[in-house]
Amino acid sequence: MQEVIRFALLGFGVGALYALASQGLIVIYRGSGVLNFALGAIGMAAAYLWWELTTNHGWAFLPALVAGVLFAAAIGAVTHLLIMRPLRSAAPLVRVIATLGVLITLQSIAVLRYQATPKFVPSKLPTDVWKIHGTIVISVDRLILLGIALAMTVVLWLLYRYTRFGLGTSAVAENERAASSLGWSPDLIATANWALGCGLAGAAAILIVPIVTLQPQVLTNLLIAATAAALVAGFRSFPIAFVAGLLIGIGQTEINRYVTTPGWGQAVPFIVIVLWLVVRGQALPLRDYLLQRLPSVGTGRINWGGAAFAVAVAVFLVSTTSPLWIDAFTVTFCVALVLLSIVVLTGYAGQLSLAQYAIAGVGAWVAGRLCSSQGLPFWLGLIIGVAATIPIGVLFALPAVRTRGINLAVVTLGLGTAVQLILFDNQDYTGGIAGTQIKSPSLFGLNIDANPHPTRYGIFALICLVLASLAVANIRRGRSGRRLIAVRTNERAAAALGISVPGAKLYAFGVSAAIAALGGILLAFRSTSITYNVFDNFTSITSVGFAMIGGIGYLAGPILGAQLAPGAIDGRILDELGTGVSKYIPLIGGVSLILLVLANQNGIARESIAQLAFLRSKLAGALPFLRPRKRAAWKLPETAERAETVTPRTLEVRDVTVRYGGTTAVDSVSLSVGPGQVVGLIGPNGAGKTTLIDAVTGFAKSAGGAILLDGREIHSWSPVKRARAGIGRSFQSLELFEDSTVLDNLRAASDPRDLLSYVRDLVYPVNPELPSEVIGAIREFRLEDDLDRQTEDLPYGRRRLLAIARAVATQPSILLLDEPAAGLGDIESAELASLVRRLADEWGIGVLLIEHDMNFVMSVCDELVVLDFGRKIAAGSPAEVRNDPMVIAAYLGQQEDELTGEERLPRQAGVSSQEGE
Amino acid sequence: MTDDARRVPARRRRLLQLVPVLAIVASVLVLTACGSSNNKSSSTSSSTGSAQAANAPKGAPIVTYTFADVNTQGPQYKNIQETSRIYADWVNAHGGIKGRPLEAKFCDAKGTPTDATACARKAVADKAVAVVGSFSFTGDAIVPTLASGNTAYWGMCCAISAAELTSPDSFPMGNQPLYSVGLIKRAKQDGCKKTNGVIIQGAEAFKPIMQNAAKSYGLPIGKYITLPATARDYSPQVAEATGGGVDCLVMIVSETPYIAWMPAFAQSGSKARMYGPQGNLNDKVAKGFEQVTNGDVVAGMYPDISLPQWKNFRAAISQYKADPAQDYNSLGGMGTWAAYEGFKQVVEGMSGPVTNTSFLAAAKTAKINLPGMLPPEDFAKTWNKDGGPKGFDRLVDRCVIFSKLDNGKLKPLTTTFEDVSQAAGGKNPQSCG
Repeated sequence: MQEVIRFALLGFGVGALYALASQGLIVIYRGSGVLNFALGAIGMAAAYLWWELTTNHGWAFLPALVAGVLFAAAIGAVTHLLIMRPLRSAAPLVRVIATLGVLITLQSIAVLRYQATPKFVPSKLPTDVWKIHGTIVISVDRLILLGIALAMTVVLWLLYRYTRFGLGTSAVAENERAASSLGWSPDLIATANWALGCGLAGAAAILIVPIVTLQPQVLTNLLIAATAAALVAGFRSFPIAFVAGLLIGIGQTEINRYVTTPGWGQAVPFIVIVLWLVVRGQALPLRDYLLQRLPSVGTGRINWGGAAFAVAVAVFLVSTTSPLWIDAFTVTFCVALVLLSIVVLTGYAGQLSLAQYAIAGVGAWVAGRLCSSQGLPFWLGLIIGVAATIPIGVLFALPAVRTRGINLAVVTLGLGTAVQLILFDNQDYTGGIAGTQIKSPSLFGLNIDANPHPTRYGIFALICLVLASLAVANIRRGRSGRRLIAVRTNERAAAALGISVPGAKLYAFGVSAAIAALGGILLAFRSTSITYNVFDNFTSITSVGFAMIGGIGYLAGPILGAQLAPGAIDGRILDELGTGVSKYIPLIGGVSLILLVLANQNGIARESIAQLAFLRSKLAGALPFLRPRKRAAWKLPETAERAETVTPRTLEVRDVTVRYGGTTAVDSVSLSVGPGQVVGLIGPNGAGKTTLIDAVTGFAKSAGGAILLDGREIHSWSPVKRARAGIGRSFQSLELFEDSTVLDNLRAASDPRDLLSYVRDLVYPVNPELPSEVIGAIREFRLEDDLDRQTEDLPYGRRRLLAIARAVATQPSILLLDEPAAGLGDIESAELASLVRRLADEWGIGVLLIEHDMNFVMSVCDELVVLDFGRKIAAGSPAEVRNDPMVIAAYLGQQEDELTGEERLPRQAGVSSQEGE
Repeated sequence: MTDDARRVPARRRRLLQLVPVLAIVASVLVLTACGSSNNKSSSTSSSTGSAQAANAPKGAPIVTYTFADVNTQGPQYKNIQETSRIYADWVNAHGGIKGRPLEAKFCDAKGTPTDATACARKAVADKAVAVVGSFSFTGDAIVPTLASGNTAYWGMCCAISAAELTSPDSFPMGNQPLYSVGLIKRAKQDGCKKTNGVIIQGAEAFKPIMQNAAKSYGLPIGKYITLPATARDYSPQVAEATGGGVDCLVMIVSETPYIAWMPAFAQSGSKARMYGPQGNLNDKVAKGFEQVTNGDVVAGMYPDISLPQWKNFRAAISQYKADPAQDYNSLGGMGTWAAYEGFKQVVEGMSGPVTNTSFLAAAKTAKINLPGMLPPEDFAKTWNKDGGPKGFDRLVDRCVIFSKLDNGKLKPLTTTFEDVSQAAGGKNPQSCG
């Protein structure tokens, strides 16, 4: 027991470091919503300045400390103002990559100036050891550090809780626009938080370098582990981060002490990350999430002529250049495969993974160990390696089912790092002293060993890349691609259309794992003596940067981004320019990353495609074969004007109650919607109308009552199951798939949900004929001329129509429309009302309609249900409800007898605000 | 796509219009550079020296390569680069090798397997006679490429990867990893009562050899502590290693984590004597801890640079202005110098043209005699042919020599090599000369 206590106390040292590092992360996250991977490097810069001032210029400790802290704060402020501020509405991925650019830049400068060799820095704190009991001791400097971490925690807690600055930060974090309107400057607040967070990191770095030594990378390593503590604290609570940091430090120390297998101790923070997010599965308070613009996505269409030309050029280069260049091309192809996996996962499915190199490494490890220890031939090892990695990828996806955005990035980083520490860095699993030695790879009797036959191996890697790219293009153009894009754009909307969000995510992870594994295996098998140290967590992070620079949503992106990887084409070119340039490659890489992120978040591919198209059109005059062929617009098939009626179903809501904490949003409400019936659900703002729709469609959990579809209780059904059973809905805020075409929005709604398409799309994407109901809907909503338009380009009125058409395209038996006429003019509203009526009369759809426009409601509804403060206050025909005194009072806040005849419904109700509830 | 382009602001679009131009420029560079790659290796530095007119070597230069990680965020070995440069200067000023000038090219492996492979390809493409006196953590990425190009990986101090230890085209001249056996031998001789082992993560392969040695010499090792590879607060590991009255620590730890280990070790107040490997437990590690490290023992493969056998090396360092910031009393410094001396012996013993293939053939039966620098080495009798255990096939040096830290400075402790073959699991002893 004494030993356990002794090591727990020793863990305070590591824990205090984590606690200090996590506080800086939280300050910056609270202030600007950015997970700052560069924080360790900024701290490092402060520590080097401090060291230089004290060692080379004779400064005293304290003035040098102040200078270091100010320096770090200045770097933080400048980073925010020049880099993060212009990216404030960019996707989380983009902002993470920008911090990565800062990290690489600062570390490269440090290496150039100070070299990577660690410097021993004498401690300025007392280093005596305090004996507590027996062998239980603790050193005074660790205790002081612990005290500093605790003091910092208290100060930060007080600062953010009780000061104007803290309140402002909270206000901006909650709602930037609202805070601005109250006089808070989000920019000023964010800049101050960046300066504060980085200044704290500088102070912490200066205090801890005597323990961990001063060298460029060590503080970044520390910071990545400290992310676990910040995560447990929800990137919000300083006291929780402090406690979590200590506990992780203690846990790490105890495991190192009692578990002899290497790697487990260091993996503790990363295992904590994974477990925490899997158990909690709660999103970070992502700010203005809906305002964040995702990088654009390509169409997946292939320019066969251009592709054939590019492949021919690649084959020519791989066949005619020296082995040195061939290897650079081969590395580019292999890395492009890993980046292609990121296109599927992050570009298409919107899942930000920072573990793709770890997954690639798992493929290489499986194939390598099998070929080495079991003597499997290369081709079989390759197939098994790829196949075996798919379930690993799916395993990595399990947290993704419950998390998203930066949370997912952190959890995948944790998983990847754990794999690296426990598997790749452990010689027990990598062949011990003998390592992983394999025979020369061969295919069909042809030796393709990259050493004697670099051209063969290079061409094989190219073939793999081309095939994988074709498969990804097929996915993009097929049903699977539409599902992934739908999930990426709006998970709620996707689920409402019956798309299985977890299914799509698992699929994306599985496919991307297979592609990454292929890249990893090809990368590793370039040598007959395989090592796994290339598959580290930092490379996983930088590979996402390369993917983004190339174009994370485009098929051409990986090949453009892969050129930046170590050993690939760009490095080769720089090498050829001379030795003087070589040492600046990391610095050039870091600065380029920042500039490219600032200039073009959609990647080089998109602009290159546009420029090539422009060039082609200019050259077409002289070279007619280059003339772009106009793609025929998609034509609506000739079919019956009106679809068959839908399957008739009846929705019954019985005494449904929904509570949010102590607030009852819906209180024992009952209603029924039958086939061909239009039921209006009206009430003032905040009455609980949308909440009731959310409960019916499964987006809100009901606390009581029953929801029945054709007499079957659906309470336990997921939103997807309810949608597939025939309950369709539209959203008040539309929630369209903005970066898809109108046709793709409709197809996403009407596509069959069979699982087979996930496999078939890899080879042959089949887009089924649109069901006659959807064709009918397109005609009814007059969307024929908009089908090929991007959704984000549509005018507001047509977007409203598309939202309803998309809901109708799921062929629902019951359709729940949430304020469909909001924002429409009188004429458009009248037309829409007629349309809704026809959906009920001619198609047999039962409609539950929320609408504030009482003229609209009164003209189409068979029956009205009125809610106020979550309770049903009236029900009946429009005529009955119109004169109900309770309803009038609810809307106007006065008794009926106080009103004049003209003030009575429906006119007055129509003036209600159209804000959401 | 046209719509997309329209949405991009004009200023940004102008910037972006540069992209295809840059792409074209890059493509031209690729094609230009591809065409010229066989004739030029501009990322390499080379030295043919300023030969004195009297005994200036003549004829086509003998081209060698040396690899090390220099521009990397991990451990850097610029001392290897510098030593290869000054060796060429020195040898060319002293008649060259077989009357021909030595062109010692250097390639930076940058700490990545991909760059290491690129270096190997470069050496093969340049028809280097051999790759001499290199060190990289990524030997597995080097040796297969050199082997397929019939190029010897010659003379490295520290075979660390499986390929370096087993490939017939690999010719390590140093004794790594057998200095770990030497550490145990010395600890026993010094009368250690209670000993623990400390191994840096990633070097776990040393453990079986150390266990063999401990058994052979009768020095029980209480436990082996794995030190996390990235520097951090090592207090818990120090506590575990030094707890329970331990008086000796046998350590396989590289220089960088050693530097991070020292503050925690000093703070622990432990009086345990540390036994560490040459080039890792050194003056740099001892700096600031002179008293704590006093008497610590270093097992290695090369005797101290202050000894007479390194006279030429010391002179070259001074004469050719080797970077004073580097440590030459190290595996990187002395190892590279000795490797080039061995290379010279092999070449001068060859008849006929000096090419990569002829050198490789000659190397396979070479007998190296560098008195005082290394024990006699016979590459016809690599350890796999001389009763050695599996996995260490290529070792021809199984002898160790010791230094000690004296007030922060390394001083010779022994002056003769001591064989450790049998304690390391081999059947036959080696004559250490």
